[in-house]
Amino acid sequence: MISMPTESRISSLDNLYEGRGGTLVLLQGDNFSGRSTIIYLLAQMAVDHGELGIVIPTELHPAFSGVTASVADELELHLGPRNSQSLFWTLAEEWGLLALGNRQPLTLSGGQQAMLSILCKLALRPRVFGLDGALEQLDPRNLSRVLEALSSRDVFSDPSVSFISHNGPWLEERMPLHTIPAENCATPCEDPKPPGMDLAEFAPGTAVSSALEFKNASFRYPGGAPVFSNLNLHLHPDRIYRLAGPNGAGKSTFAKLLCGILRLTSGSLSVNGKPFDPYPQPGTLAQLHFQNPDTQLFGTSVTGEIETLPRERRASALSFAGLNAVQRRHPFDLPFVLRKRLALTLTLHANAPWLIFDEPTVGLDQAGQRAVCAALIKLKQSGYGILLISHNPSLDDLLAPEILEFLTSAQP
Amino acid sequence: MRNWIPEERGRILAAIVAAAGTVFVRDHLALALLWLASILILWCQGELRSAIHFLWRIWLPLASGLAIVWGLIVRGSPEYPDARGIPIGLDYAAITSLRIAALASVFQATLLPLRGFQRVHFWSRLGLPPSAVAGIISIFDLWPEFVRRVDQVVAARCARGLMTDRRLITRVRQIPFAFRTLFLSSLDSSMDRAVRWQSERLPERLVKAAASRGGSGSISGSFAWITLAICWVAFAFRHHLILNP
Repeated sequence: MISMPTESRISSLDNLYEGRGGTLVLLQGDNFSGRSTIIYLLAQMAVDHGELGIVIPTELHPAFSGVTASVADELELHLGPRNSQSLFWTLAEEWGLLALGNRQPLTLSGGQQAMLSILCKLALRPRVFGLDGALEQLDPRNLSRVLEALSSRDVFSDPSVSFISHNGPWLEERMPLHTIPAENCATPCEDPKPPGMDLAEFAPGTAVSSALEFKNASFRYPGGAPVFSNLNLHLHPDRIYRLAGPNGAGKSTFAKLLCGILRLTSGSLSVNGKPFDPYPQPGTLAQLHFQNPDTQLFGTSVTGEIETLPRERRASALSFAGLNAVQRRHPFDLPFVLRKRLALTLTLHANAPWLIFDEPTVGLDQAGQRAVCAALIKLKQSGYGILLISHNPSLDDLLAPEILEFLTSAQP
Repeated sequence: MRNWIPEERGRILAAIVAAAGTVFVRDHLALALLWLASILILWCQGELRSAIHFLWRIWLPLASGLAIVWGLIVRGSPEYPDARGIPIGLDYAAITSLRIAALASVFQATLLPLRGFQRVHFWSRLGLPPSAVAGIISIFDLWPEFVRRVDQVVAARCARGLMTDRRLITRVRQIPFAFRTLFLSSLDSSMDRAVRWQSERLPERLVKAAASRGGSGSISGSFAWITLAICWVAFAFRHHLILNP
């Protein structure tokens, strides 16, 4: 059985709670080192002291109130009446959230949702503010904005303290952080940790090479402004591409077009020189891993999910994901990291010539990220075309992808 | 235009009078009049699309079903157990359908035009405590959230290659997955949100934010709506008495 460290096993939390007023604390550690539990316990300590403790998790939808129909209302609910002199309303403008005024919070891109929820909860002036993986969806500019706000005494006054759990060394390069290994505040878990991802077990199929060509392609959501117009683009098989662009630029939308979830408004797509419309046959040209695994899991057990894969790949897929010990459990009973691994594994073993990964490393520690990258390289060598959507700079070092910078304007 | 929009208590009082009359009135013309008046109010408030959507998607199939069951299968009415015949069954189906349409239109005309904080203001002005207001508002937001979630499930199944065409039968086969996901995620989100609402004092903030925006109606609007509702009830009963002395 897998279990996170329990409260009785965690010590030294009082020091973290009391001693770091106004500073940013980065909790470092691998998956299952207890980072999330520490953050939630610190927030609970604030609540026990009659103060406010807030944690924004990787899955953002519970962070929204659920009672407002627009970004403007969500902001007003948390920030109070609009006032140009107010620090938080100024931040809302600087962060580009006022421009999203009429949109429903849950229809925003992942990065925009993270920015909105962070600002709203900061405005409540919590005593303890935790970010459990929520920063990993932010583009570099938005990441700097949030870190600046968190380290500003005006926004986050003493004795408040913020704790960040983040899988990446690049955070410290942007801002001086007080870094604490999670092991220093949590005694090791007595239960064995689940095994990591095992690359030796990864056995991809062979893909039919499919070169893609977009000609004068345009897309807009009904009633919205164009996401992109007159796009001309060649995508070659056997390569890894990374879609670059700010949060809300339309990267995930582009991925959905390739998968046949959405349809081009005008222009055409051809595969190996022949016109092809993915919309009537979704998932045949490309399959997509969503950044939030919970939207993509439907089975009542891990085995049930794995059984959607071709028969010859099932056993290796389970071993690759390190999920053999939990194969009978319901996916939603697993911790986020294991749900993420399961969803990733399903796409890594999928039967389509193009595989798209939207923020594949969110929530994964360094070892997990390296394993995923190694699997992607194997897929490329087997003839698959790979498209990545990620703000994780480590992936550029590990995969050296071709960068597609065509999406540069934020979606209105 | 604002002068003809009622304030919260006038709105609910007019709706209660009209709804109560609908339950007791058994007159085709009166019910049809109320229905048309409600549709007119919805049109004036820019909500005609929602009304047509309801009529086309829900009311029409329901009315057809009632006509088939009472008019063609039962061939009678529970109001007149001794009388048999297709006209009697159809008459009962028609009056029931009209009653449903009128009630739904009254409900839509009362609540649909209220948006965002107006809706919060409406419920809090009726004297409900903040937690009850937050609960009611979240119920109203359930349907749009369900629609989004169903779209999300369909998108995710397309993305995984589990829905490889868009034929009707293939789409119908996705329903169990959508329901399961809806149930699980809604339950999960509700639990998370309930805890957050309490610790962040969200219901109080919600009512405060709505109060700072103020209401959208006027006393003269309330007076007009209540008068119209009472006039309709009076007409309905009078017309009923003329037809059934």
